[in-house]
Amino acid sequence: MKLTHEKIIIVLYVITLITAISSRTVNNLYFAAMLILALSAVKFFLVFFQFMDMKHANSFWKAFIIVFLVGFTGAVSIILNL
Amino acid sequence: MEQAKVDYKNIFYPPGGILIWILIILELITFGAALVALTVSSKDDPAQFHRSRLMLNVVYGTVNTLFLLTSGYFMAVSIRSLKLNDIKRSAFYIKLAMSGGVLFLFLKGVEYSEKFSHGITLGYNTFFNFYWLLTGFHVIHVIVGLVILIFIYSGLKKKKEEYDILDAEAGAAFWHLCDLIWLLLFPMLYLVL
Repeated sequence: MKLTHEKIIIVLYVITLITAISSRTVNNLYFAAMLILALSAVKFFLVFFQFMDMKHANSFWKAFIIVFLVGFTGAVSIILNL
Repeated sequence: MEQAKVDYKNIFYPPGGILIWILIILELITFGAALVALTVSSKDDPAQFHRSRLMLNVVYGTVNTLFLLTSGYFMAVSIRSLKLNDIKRSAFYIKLAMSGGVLFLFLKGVEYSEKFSHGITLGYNTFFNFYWLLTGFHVIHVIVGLVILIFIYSGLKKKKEEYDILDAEAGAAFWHLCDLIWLLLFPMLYLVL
């Protein structure tokens, strides 16, 4: 399936609404935080790869952003769990 | 219009050019480090951070996220149109992208004024120190992004025959940077702690 900008923006809307709702409805705060961080990471990747057209860029730039986001999400998750 | 044939697979030529990408990476690292510092600080007094986070309006944050994502979508469509040499359509979508940015700033202004009216300013507590500094710097980025979009728009209107698509791509990359930063700020400030 080809991911057009139109499909991407709908997915982004849905994920945004899920993250907002889950922050107030999921009782387990740590689980809610992990879910929200994971969904936010997906949004970040969709904007980076699709809207910024970085899917066509050199692997260095893609790898850098993936390492950054995994490092950031991992660090926040570990600190929250301490 | 000048249609530069750029080999994006070349490490030195990401979409928008290498200079804007060095800036984007530095900005993301800076905001990322600040958000990690926010998380570390929250461990000192988790209850205060949680209470403070609940004082933020999630609806404002969510709607502002939707404004910025929609604006980013319009910008992406604008660049796609520009690559197809459809300048009129590209200019139209840049205007829509700018509208999204203006709406974001308007709602942020409403949110800021509500906080001010309740006496929640810089120095209120540690959480709100992070809130004001992080969202304040982000707002500055959005304003700078809007100025860049105005330049791109006026460039498209004036110099139809000699417009370099790389300039538009660099401006679009900066505009998407505002999206990316907000996609980190929104969950960390409004939803997680």
